[in-house]
This record gives sequence, structure tokens and C-alpha cells, in this order.
Amino acid sequence: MLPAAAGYDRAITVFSPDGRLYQVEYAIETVRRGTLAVGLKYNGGVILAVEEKTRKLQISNVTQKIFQVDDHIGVAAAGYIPDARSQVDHARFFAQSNRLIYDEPVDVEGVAKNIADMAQQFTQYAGVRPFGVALILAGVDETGASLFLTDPSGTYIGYDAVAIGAGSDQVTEYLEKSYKMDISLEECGSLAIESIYLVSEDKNSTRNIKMAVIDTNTKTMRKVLDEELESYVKLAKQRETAKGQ
Amino acid sequence: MTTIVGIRTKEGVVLGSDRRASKGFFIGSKITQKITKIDDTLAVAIAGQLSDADYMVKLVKAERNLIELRRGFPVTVKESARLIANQAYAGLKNYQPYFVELLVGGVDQEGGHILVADMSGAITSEEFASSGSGSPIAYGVLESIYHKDMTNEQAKEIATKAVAAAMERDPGSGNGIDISTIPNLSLIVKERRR
Repeated sequence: MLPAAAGYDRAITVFSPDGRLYQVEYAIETVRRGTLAVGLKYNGGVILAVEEKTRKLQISNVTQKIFQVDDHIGVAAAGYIPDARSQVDHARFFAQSNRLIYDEPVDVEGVAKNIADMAQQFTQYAGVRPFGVALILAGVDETGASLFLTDPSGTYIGYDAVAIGAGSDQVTEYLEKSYKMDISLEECGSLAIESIYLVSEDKNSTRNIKMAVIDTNTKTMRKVLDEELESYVKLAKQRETAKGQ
Repeated sequence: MTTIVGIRTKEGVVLGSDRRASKGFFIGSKITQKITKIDDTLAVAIAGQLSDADYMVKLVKAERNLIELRRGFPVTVKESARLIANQAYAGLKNYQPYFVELLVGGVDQEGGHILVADMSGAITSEEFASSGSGSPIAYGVLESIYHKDMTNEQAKEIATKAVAAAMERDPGSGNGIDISTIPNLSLIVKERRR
């Protein structure tokens, strides 16, 4: 570390002379080093997909990086996953409180803002560290399908399609080129697979891929099972060969 | 005031209620819904202070959702009744009791359950139960014609008869009958949805 930054990367509450909060930037770096997570809207809902490397003897049917917050809201995380569990639990409590107080399911932006508010507080107080995780929040509410990204700084931004984690720059570039509004679930699912294969070592199996869908009709999050996942892989391969010709 | 009944069958559970909400000697409402759905596998029949019961039901809904999301598998009927009873007990010990007696009816992996949770925080598991001012009359009917190995259809008939008899003689009950059935099958529907 250069002497110019000496001391300024220790306490999170202290700005460096050039106006930066190093601890927050380091936290965002943690997210960059996490495994890939993507969120994509389609014309009847929203998809969450993650790359999740499982060891040979690991029980892989338990998803580590996709969480359910409420019936109609899900989260995909990249970065330091234990921090995601804490944030997700906070979000679950917030969602149930909304039902308790207003007798209504919470809107997705409300949850995004609530998570971001907490993240922001952890950039300002002494004795705490920022969350080392970014969350893609997907859900369905009265505004339709909705997708938000929260990061360790406390920023929250809405997206049509978004990628975080290792290789997300490459994936974002790809999505900005090839994502279209109002695509079908099948197209969207295969696009999510393509996005993960773009940066994954394993470009054939579904072993390292986990996916969840929230549909605007059912307003309920569901896990995408292997069979359906395979069908999206097939579609992704078809598109790839079509492009190659 | 009120008459509510709950019957456990081999196929699930049946809950029944009248529709009268009393305000002293005045009929406050003739179309009160006293059976509240918590989800596809659980419902609560309410006797007592409606506001207290509504609050307890709302809280148990939120708690059940949180527990299920956190631990990853559903909350049983008995656990749900315990959540309600814990609230009732805390209320009693703080000299702010919830003036309710609730029939908790639902299905889980073990089948159908009828549990009675009262304002003292006690829970009892029953084959059939009744509560409210009309309950002595309803019990008379239930005791004489209830038998084990009933179908839900038969239980619906008996629940209707019990509430109807209570409405004939109890001034706190009347204005029609509501019957709800929770078949064991609804558990499968719920699991498939997840």
C-alpha cells in the first residue's frame, strides 16, 4: 500500500484526502471476486441465475446463493455469502412486517431500499464493517416484474438485466448487446445460461447452475428443476451454433 | 356470543361457524366471517373479541411465513397453535388478556388436527370441538352423532347440524352458517406450489 493511502483504509468512517472510502471500495472488490449471479426480466416475470461451484461430495440440492424473501420476492447474491444471509433475513422480517402492518405484500423497491438503507448505515458507523455482498433482488408486485441491485455502499438501482460477481463486466457487455425487452421465459432462461457459460469453466452441464423464476401470474417464486434447466441449455446451444454459421 | 365447531376426519378437517356479531343486545353484523384462512393448509375459527382474534391471526401468519422461510419446511398445525397460545399466555400474564377462544384446524404430514387455544394459553387437541356461547348446544349435537372414520362430507353435515341447533336456542348466534373444509390433499397442492 502506498503511503498516500496510509491510514485511510482502516476506519470506514474516514474519507481519504481525495474523497474516497477505502473500506467500502474493498467491500465492492469482494463482490467482484464472488461467483457470478445474474437477474433478467422477461415478458411475464423475472429470472435469477447463479453459478455455484459444488465439490464432488457436497450436497448440491441446497442452493447457497439464491434465497426466498417472501412468496413473491427472491434474491441472488455475489460476494461474501454469509453477509447475504444476514441481509436476506433482515429483508424477510421487513416483508412480513409489511404484511402485518398493511395486510399487503411488500413492493420490491421497498425491500431494495430497506436493504440499501442498512448497507449505508454500515458505511458510516464506527466499529462495524460494510457488507461484502451485492444482492440482485427480483420480484413481482403491482408494478409487474421488478429487478433491483443493491451493493455494499448502499446504492440501489433498477435494471432490466444485470450481472454481478466474477466476469460480470464481460457478461454485462454481452447482455447490453443481446438482451431484448419482452422476451419469452424460454429465451430468457437460455440467455441466463449463456451468460453463465460465458465466464464459467464448465460450459456443458447444469451441475454448477442454480436458477429461480418469479412469474407475474402466480406471483410466487419457484426453483427451476434440472429438466427445465437442461431445456434452456439446449436452447442456448442451438443459438450458439446458429450464430456460428 | 358465537357458535363455532371443528371436526377432525380421516380426510382432513372441517370448521363451521354462524355469522352473527353481537354488540350487547344488538346484532352488530349479520355477515361476519368467523373462519379465517391462514394458508391452504390452515384455518382458524374465532370466538370472542374479533379485534383480538384478528390481531393474533395476523401475527401468526407473519411468524409462520418467517419460520418457514428460515428453516425451509412448513410449520405444523400444532406449532401454529402453540404460536397462538404463546401470545395468549403472554397477554394473560401481563394483565392484558386476549379475549378469545380459537379453534385451530389444519392438515400437515400427520394428517388433520383440531386444536383449541384459549385465553389462558392452554392448548388441547380434540377429535371435535366447539366454542362460543352456543357451544353447549352444539356439543349436544356433536356428542350424540359424531363418530370416528367420517368423511369430510359427513363432517360438513354434522357441523352444519351442530351450528344450526345452537342458532335455534342461543341468542348470541344466528344469521346463517359458514362451513370450511381443509382436505389432506391441500398439503400436496401447497408443496407442489413451492
